[in-house]
Amino acid sequence: MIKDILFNQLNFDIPKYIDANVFSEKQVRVELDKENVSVSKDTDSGLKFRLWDGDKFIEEATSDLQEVQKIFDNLSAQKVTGTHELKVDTQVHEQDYTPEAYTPISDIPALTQELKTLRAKILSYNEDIVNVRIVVRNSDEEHIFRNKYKKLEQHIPITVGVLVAYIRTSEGATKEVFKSFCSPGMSILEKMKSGLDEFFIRIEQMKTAKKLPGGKYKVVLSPKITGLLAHESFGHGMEADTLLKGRALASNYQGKQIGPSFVSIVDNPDLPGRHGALHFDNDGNVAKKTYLVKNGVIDTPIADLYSKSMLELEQSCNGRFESFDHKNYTRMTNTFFEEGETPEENLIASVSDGIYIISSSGGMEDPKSWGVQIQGCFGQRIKDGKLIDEFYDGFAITGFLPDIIGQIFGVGNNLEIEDIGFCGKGHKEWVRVSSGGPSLGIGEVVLG
Amino acid sequence: MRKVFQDAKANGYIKAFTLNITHEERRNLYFERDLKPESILHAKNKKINATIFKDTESGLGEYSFSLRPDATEEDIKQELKSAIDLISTSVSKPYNLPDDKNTDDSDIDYNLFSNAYLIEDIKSGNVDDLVTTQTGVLREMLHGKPIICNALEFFSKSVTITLQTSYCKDKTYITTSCYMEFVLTWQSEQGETEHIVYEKIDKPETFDFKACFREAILSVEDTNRAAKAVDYDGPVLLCGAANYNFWKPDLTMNAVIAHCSARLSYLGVSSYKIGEPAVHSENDRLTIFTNPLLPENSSSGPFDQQGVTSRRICLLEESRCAAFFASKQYAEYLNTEATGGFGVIEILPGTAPITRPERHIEIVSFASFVPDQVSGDFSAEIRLGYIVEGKNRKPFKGGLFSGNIFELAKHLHLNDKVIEKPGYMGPDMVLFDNGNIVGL
Repeated sequence: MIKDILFNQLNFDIPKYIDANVFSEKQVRVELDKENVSVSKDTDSGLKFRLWDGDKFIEEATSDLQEVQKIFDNLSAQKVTGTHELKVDTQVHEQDYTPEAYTPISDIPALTQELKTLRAKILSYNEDIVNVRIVVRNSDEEHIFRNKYKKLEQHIPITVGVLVAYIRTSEGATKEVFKSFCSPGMSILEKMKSGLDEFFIRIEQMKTAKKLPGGKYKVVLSPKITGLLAHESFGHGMEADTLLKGRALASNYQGKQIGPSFVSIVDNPDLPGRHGALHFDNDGNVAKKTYLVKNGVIDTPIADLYSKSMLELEQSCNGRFESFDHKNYTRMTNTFFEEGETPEENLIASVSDGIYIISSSGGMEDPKSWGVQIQGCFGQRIKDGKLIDEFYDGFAITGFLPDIIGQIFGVGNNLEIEDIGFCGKGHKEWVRVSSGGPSLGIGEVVLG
Repeated sequence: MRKVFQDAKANGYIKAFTLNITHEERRNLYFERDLKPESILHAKNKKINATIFKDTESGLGEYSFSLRPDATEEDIKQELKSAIDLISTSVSKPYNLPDDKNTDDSDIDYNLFSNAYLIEDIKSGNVDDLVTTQTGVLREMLHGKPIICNALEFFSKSVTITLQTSYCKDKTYITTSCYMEFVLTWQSEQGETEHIVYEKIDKPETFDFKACFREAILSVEDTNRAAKAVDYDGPVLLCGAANYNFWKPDLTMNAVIAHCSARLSYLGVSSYKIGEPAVHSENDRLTIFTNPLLPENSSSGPFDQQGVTSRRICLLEESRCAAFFASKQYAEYLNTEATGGFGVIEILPGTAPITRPERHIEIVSFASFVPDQVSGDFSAEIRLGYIVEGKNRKPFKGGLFSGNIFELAKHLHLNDKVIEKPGYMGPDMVLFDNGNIVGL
């Protein structure tokens, strides 16, 4: 019904810019924790209209779809007082993007039974495991975008699986071992099962992990963490709204060599099944890949409609909101280093003394100073080109990003974009993104 | 809506139900470079979350689902039917739902939780006037300085929360809050540096915007002349945002407090035992309350999702575990009392002003303080700190403040001055004897 109102009943062909976004997320969540199983269904849905008044957006959002006509009438009656024009894509485009074939999660009891078996298997692996928590979250996002030129609709199925084991170390401390998976529908179960061996290895390694003495180290980053480095460095650093506000040092480096020629970083929403996948963004731009860094040179910023218009940039598919009642900002999707040619074992073999960083819990951007924080890291010692049984956890990576990127000595041939992530604008406005990439070898970074 | 659930209970299809209804209204203003307006967003969002309970062979069935605000009676019946079909999948170890004693709120003033100024002004749009006035103040304060405001966002929110259940009387309260984020940028020929302020504001009519702007101006001046962090072991003082974020991190919980969770205790993750030391304090001892009844604090609330009345609870007393914060479910599993909503972290201050060591590090702000709430490990990039030697105070930035919260807390000193912020009331500064900073 709402689609019919937006596509056929409201008149967007007026001499002012108005767009509409309908967002609906239906979520089913199954959680197993000790003897308890919790199943819940959640729906978040509503609509947002934006009017461009020549200087700024006037945005009205509501969960009450009965108000659609009233809000549209009110906004379209408002005067355009400013003189700035938005750089709107005027190519007419009408499309319904339906998801690729997949088996949706429909049989919750069967899924729950499978997860119980999985949990029992993990719990019985080791007596140091004090508890295991498993979460599967299946969400079906529906977006409808409408302006004068576009009638777009997309359904994005996202299924996320999380394994968490709480282990007791020999010193009596409790530690959390975490692994996430992303795959649409019931295929998540196979992903989780096939990831068990790696999860068990991580549990063993974490039991003996120590605090890493702070200092400068030569490192190899695993595919699980390089996405976060790409994200915090040239992801946030190349967001057009940040550049517009004079808040990113990248503007001083536009077109300049920042890293070795074998280093490229992209943002690509057009990777169905990955956690940051989109067919179009909340500004009505269709998915396409953007090179943030190409062959070591700072290339093209990603943008939302407002920043693109003010900075006169090309279109990219990065105007996104957290939900219908939030503002559109420039946001990343799947951001990662492009695959290189070096096998990971060769990267490790080239390090005489250093750390192989396996995973992390998150990070924080600093585009103005180009600092970085990637915290909650877990790593393994490299000695004479080989991984040895010495593990470290709870440390962070920091440093000046141009120094870090400039010291990349190799990019792995092992691209993996399997992990999930959530990206905030500072400390808020969360959107789903992916995490992953190829392994990277870096000459020297500060760890502590 | 409620009648559909009442009928289901009367006919024995369910044992009990709760309906959590939230109606949120927000007015957000966004400014870009040099305080040019970018957007004004007005949003209304109503959400209804239903939970049904039913005794099953394997335990207590408990299933939650949301309903569209415009759902018809037929829609609700359909959703309820599919929920009843699935409830035997969603089962917990049995526990009793809240009783009259748990839900008795006769001594609670429900007007405590909102700011009257905000409720009216979000509806009328008058919050725009406040922002216009304060951005004017900021412009004036920046006049003649090599500093510009590169971004400012001001969010205001009013949420009406209603709980309807099959086992206690209906309860409603309103909670309000504001959030201001702004960036000051120092411009010089050598380059630019910035300082970001994230400020949660519960009482905008009394909030000292001018003092907040003044402090930010000083910080960006200091950031501009800050040196690079160097390696350091010794006393570390946290103040300002760094102190607040240490006790109340944005994305997780301080591990010393998280381990007071009945849920974590039941799951075997928390090692705390009632009456036993939680922290082996060798200096000041920690006495920490959860206080959900602090007036006009956006973290306060008179009841939890099941209607259990909130109470101020002492979690740690003199560094010993005194109680767990608990929902009805986990309270029963641990044979303790349900405590209602979590509320504000209230930490008793020290008995005397902190004596600053002759040489120490003072940290004012972190990039993001995200400790591991299970192990207590943390490592946070420093956005602004000072190397203090006697009367000299030299700013620095970068590097990592790194350690373990349980270890640090053994040797801490709490200042005697108390501040109140959203979600926190406690000392304005904390000094650790054995801090570690990894330099660049």
